[in-house]
Amino acid sequence: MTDLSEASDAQLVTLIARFSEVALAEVYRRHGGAVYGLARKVLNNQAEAEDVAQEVFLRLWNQPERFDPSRGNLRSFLLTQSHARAVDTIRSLTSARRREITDAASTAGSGYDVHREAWDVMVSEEVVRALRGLPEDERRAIELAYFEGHTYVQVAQILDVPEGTIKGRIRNGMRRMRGDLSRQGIQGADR
Amino acid sequence: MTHDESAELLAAMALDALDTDSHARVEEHILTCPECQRELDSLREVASALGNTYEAPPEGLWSHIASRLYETDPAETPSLPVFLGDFDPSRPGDRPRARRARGLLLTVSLAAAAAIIVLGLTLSSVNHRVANLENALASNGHNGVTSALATPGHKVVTLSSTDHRVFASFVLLPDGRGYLVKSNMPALPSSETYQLWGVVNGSPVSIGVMGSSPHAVAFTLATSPAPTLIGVTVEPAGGSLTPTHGMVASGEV
Repeated sequence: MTDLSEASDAQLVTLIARFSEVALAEVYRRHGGAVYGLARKVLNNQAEAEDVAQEVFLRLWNQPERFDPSRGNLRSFLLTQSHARAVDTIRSLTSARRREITDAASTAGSGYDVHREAWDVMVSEEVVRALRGLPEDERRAIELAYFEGHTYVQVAQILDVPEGTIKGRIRNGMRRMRGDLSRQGIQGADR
Repeated sequence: MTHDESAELLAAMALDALDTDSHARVEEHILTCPECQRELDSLREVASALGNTYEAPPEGLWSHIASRLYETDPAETPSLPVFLGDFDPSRPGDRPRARRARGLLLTVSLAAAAAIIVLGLTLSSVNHRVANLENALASNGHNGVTSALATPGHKVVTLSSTDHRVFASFVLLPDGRGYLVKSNMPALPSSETYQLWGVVNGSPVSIGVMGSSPHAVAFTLATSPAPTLIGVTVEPAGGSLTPTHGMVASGEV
């Protein structure tokens, strides 16, 4: 069996397009924990996160041509897929199930901070610093949208501010983070 | 949606924070706006950095994924004639592509499974890469045959029908590649297909589905040991995991 541990992600996807299960297994070895971890964080449910991770890797297997290395790295591509599917799942849930997720995330009193601390230890220091460097209102809007799966309209309702304001906070916050990460030499989600 | 309206929503889109309707309208705009596409890609990288955490996947997750690789999507009918293309077996992983033969790995012997993984059996009619392969074959197939016949060590195998008529002939190369050289195979109704088999240790192993009216066929034999005999059966369109009828023609390798 060919040793693929030295192959680049782009090479692995090319091999997947040629029907190499071993290449898919190597992609899973490299990125499975991140894909599953993000889905688990958004959904707060192991079984649903597993379903999302399965979908993401099966989609890569069935449609590898959807990955375009000129548009970003494979980790970022897979995480984008994982997040989108997790959000689809969370939005299809009954309001009761959704409350469960929110409640679980809010246990131990100041749930928001606990949640954030757990996340802090898992992502890179630079990303934590970039997020914490944002004005509080921008950071809160981004976190409610990304980690809890709310639309920006829902975020506006939760925070009781106009939709246009939230749209602007998200846009400004994301651009600010991009600038910070770029200055630190981080372009997204490189391994 | 105007460019400015789209640009305002890209950051929220990168966070998957648009409702279905807005998402669809931005996507439509992006199709014709490279600037918005670039901006969205860039913002998605930022979003992915936020989500770039790690949690050990549960045991068994990979097994579940692996067990579903060959599931058939009911919405797709494997109707195109085969995996054939101008692949190069000397390149690692360069294999003809075939998809979704449900239960394939579970129902054939280990040797047969290994061969079928490589050789392929059925394919998805919606997989445009297969169409690309077929287009490549259409333009390069003849050159492949010509080149194969000029390759040292090539072997021509003639398949004869049970009434001793020449049914088809193939040229096989030492590296395992093979091509259809000549065919007297009568056209079948579209509900049926010719399927090529190699006999390895007495058992038939699928080489590929050739369609109802084969005229250009390329394949790679990757069984070990090499087949002692190759033969053709008539199968339902899409092919079969094991022959459902006797061979209409065969020839020793």
